[in-house]
Amino acid sequence: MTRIWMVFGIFILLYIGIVSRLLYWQVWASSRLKTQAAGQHFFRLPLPPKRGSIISSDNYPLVMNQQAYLLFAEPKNILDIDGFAKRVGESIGKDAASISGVLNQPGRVWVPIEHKVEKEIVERLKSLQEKGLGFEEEPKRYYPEASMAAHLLGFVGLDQNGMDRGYFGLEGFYDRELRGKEGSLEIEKDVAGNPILIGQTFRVEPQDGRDLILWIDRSVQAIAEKRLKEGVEKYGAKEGSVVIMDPKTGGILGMASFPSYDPRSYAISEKERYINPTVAGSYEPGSAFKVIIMGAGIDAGVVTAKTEMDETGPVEVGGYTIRTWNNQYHGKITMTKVLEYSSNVGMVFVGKKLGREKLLSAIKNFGFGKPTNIDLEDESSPTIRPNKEWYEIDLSTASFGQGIAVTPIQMVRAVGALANGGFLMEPKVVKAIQDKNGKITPIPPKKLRQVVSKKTAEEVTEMMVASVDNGEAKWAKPQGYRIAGKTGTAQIPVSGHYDEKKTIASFVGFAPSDDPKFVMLVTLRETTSSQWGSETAAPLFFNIAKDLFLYYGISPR
Amino acid sequence: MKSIISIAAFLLPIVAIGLLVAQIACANNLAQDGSTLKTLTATIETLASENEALNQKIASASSLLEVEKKAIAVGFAPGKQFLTFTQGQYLVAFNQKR
Repeated sequence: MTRIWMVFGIFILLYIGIVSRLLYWQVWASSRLKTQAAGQHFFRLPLPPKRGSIISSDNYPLVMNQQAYLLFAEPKNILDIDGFAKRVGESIGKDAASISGVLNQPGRVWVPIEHKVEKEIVERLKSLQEKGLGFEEEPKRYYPEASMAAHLLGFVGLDQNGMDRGYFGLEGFYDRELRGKEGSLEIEKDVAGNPILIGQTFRVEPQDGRDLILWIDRSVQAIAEKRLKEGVEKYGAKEGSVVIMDPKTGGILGMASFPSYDPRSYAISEKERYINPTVAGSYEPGSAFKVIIMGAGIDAGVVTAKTEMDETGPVEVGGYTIRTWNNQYHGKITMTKVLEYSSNVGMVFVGKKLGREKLLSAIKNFGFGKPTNIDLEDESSPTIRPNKEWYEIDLSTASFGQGIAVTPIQMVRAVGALANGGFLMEPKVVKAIQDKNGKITPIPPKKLRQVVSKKTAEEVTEMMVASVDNGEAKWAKPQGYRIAGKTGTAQIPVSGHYDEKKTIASFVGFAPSDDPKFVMLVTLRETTSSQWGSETAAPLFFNIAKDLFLYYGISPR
Repeated sequence: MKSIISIAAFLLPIVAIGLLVAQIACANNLAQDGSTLKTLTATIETLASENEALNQKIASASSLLEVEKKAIAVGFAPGKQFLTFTQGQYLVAFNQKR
């Protein structure tokens, strides 16, 4: 009886063992085994999709694909490897020794020699009729406008798997849209690894990437870049940037930074150049920030354009002395004059009237301290300290734009809110996305919130117009146009103190002020001809504005 | 009955041969269709490739850099002064009597 039970037990154990093993093969290891089996039975050839183009709002491509090829070799079919390497190397400008070195490695059946070789070179190589040399289509990016809008566009490089990937700017942000979806061709193979003629084939067509249609106008971009380059050279600036936005939609019409890089040869540029300073570079806005605080003051009802303050001399705040930029004082002046004279003392008056909570809440309400969510990969935003860490002197200096860091895109958007009747927009570079069947998916403008009332926006606009007409930069203003704007000159903080000689000069404004077509910010860093925004950034702003008036057909009054 | 069988015995091989010929003809046609399809596919690929190359040429030729170069070559110069006519202003010629 015991023996029967023992045999029964052994059978039960064997049964459990078999079931466990089956469970392991069929459930746990099934996906791995399936992959292994597929690898033994099928070749898998990836079918790369074509990357989408980037098209300007006036329907010209800024980035498109160019026919190019992957050059590869099959060493077993090459009769004379050294001769092959020499001839191919000469054609593609590559060292013959490095090619033959790879080809001579034992066990290599397929060797990639060069990626993205242009069609003309491939035609020349085909005419050589080299045995063992093959070509596979591998399109590369082509830039009809050369290095135009490089910071905005970004570039395409290779990822860790050797596949195309967009980096920075639009190429980085919209990489998934532009990239498309890879297809594949699976062909059944025999035991020797050769394809079976009547075997099964499975083809999954690649889905080409989608095209991006931008708000960027090619001509506006060209104007901005040309004038910025001239301005940087003329005023001896270290760096400069221009952002032009449609205040009603938040669409970016032009965005230029100097120095820039060439996306066609990005690898030879310094890596720091890849980052777009207009969305990732922070600066202290200086007096240009006064229009924001003035707007907040008027909206809160603590001042109006006609409110008077007594500008008799410097003011003492928390043990510090705050002076006007030229140390001149005008007695009783209105708030409009405070902007015209760009009076720091006048802005301390507005800041005090607002008080800590309202002032800080207004700064945040205008979108400072947080990214704008512009559709560019590189955006970053300086943070704003918690309210309790703001001392009296910090509040006072912030009221005239010192001690607070912003990005150019934040600044242009905030002033855009004054231009469009008080609405803070989400800035966008892409207007619509188009698939390969021509279906267009628009990206509608996004109003985030109303930051000041329409009445306040109109009142500040008039003050900004007066500031341009009567301020320090009036000499450069094009006659007959109503332009609302404000200069800014901010000292650069260096090792815990402000360097008096190093400044960031800026001018922010919009035009025509009654029905703005554009809002624009110009910044110039460390200018040498003059440190003042009114003598550098303002004339550059007006030069660009003159070109834009002509381009848009806006006539003077 | 016998005559029907003998007629059928005579006709059936003829029908069979006819069908065989028809099948060969159809198969031949299909084989040719395959070749035509291959030629068409190759033509489509060539045209798509040429189309892409032409698009690139158009983009190059219409780029601002190229347009500017050609404009300078034929004697255009950047405008320095502009005359604008606003509403209420009329060209001098409008006021001349005919």
